[in-house]
Amino acid sequence: MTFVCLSRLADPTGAASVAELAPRLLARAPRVRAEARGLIWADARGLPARPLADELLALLRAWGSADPRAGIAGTAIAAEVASRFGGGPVVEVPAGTDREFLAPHRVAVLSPDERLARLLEGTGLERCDDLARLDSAAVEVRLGADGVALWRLARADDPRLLFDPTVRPLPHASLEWTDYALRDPERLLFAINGLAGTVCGALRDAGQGATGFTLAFALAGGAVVERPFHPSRANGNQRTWMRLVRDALERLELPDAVVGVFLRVDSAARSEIVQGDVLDRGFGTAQVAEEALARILDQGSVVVTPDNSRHPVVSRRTRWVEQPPALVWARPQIGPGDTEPRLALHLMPEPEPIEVATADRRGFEIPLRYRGRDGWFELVSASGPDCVSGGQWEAAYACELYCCVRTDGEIVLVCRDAREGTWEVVGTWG
Amino acid sequence: MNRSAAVRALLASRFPDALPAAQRSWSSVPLGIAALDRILPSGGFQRGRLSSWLPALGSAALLRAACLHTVAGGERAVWIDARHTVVGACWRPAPILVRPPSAVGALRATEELARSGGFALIVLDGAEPETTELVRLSRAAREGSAALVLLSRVTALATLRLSSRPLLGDYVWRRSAVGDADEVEAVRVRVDARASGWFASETISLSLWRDDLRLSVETGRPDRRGERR
Repeated sequence: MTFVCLSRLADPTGAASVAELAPRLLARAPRVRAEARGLIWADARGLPARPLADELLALLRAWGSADPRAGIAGTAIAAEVASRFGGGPVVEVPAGTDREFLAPHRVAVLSPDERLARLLEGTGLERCDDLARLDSAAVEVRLGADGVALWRLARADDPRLLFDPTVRPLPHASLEWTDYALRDPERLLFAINGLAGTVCGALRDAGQGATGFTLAFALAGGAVVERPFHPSRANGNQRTWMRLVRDALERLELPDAVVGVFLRVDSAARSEIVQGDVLDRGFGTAQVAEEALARILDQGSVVVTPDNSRHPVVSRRTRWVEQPPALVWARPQIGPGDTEPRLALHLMPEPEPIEVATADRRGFEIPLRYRGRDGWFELVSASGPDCVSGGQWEAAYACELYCCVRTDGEIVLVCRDAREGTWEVVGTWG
Repeated sequence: MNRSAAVRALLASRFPDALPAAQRSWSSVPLGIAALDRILPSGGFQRGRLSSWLPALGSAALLRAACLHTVAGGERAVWIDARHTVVGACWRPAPILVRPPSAVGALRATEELARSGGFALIVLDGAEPETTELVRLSRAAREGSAALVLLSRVTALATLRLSSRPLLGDYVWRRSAVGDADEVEAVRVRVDARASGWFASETISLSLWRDDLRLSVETGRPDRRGERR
């Protein structure tokens, strides 16, 4: 049994409202919900329903209700009908017989609205069983969407969520000691490892992973130092946690000895299981690939994909968008032409200033040779320039870009800053 | 045609990327360029082994093509961009692109990914590992059966050493838009493959990526906007 429905709570002259009554019932039932139409629901999941109903009725009688009724059933609609129309102080619907229980009752017990009630009268459907026996398409054609909802109730199929899911407290663990104070990180790690095992176990049991957790150190002087952690994904893996903690402890300087450690989960999310493609050859290894990517993200690396704008300067055109480790489950579509090798531009981490010998060509200074870090390089060809300028709302720029071929065959992108008159190599083709 | 052959043919036509169980583990990761795969001792980069490619014209382009071919075959490829030199405008986002925070971070990431066993081809671009680091990378590649390719000047411990050399005399040129100077349209590179008791080479043509996004109205005139007076 799941639901206990209480009705006939007070006579019409009763002064107290149903809402005032509900808190008293919470002393007996873990979760109670009051409805304005004079019903009180009690959550009896995991409890002996009959004794609970008796206790609640006794409470109601003591409160002043003359003839309260209770209905017990696995579905809310059956419990409600049992309570309101059952014909006794406590009516218990045996498990699995909710539909049979509703069958002989008039359709009116399902509380259809006026329009629907008139339609039902016109069709001659009187009992719940008459309605339940129809198929949904026939009901939908004749009675519309509201009729389908009523039809589901007549079949004891009640989708109402009377009680919100229980919010569990996020797991935490702590350890304190008074006889000594710890300064050795290794011994601290030993203690933290035990706490992490407890917390990660609780997370796993709940099918969750932490997206943030905090390690707090209670110091001998009374102060508390907190260190938050944000794993790259919802994570309940003790090894990952300990690696993050170990890295943090290497850099953390505590002002005093430690007399206690507290580990708590700040935020958690459901552990995601991605449905992969069983025909993908990488499917079998996707899980380990995702975990490996998560580990390198935790180490400070980022997995990125470019988001290109139409900025004229190629170095400012791309915004790198960080990707989650679940990227490995994606299966990019690549056509035959996409795998053709093509030389692409690689920008240098820092542009290399160069000294350039030039010649005039149509008003431009065209590079003939340049001297960089590795000496002089003769140029076979310098095509260009591509003139780009702008930056009205940011740092102004005006560049003349030359695609130069050196005598050793290498192809470099040489840039002349038209504002400063300086030259630099900004990239190479590779 | 018997029934099993018919079923195999049907599966091959309906699911071209699916692989028969007997072929699940290949001993090498091919580059996807037939001419180059022919000159490699095992028809591609050996799984579980370290390979090196000297940085030169064409090396990154051919490795990118190998990554794309690996992904097209349903496996995973990673490009670890240690120096953050990859240009987003010419990157085809099919291989996973990793940008580590430092050179050491790049080596750590490479070791982690190689050991995981989830990646067929891993390219480490721009890091110059020491000998001890090479040993670790080599072990990680063996444990994870990954084909690990270093795009660096370090060739120690590499079972396959590749280098590419531009052949300037064979470049394809065209006149520029304003008829001033020659623009290079395609290059020809010679790729040498060396392994224990093995040497082979091949020449291959590569086209150039060009930035098509040009805003200059008049390319024949100097751009003086923003110039200091």
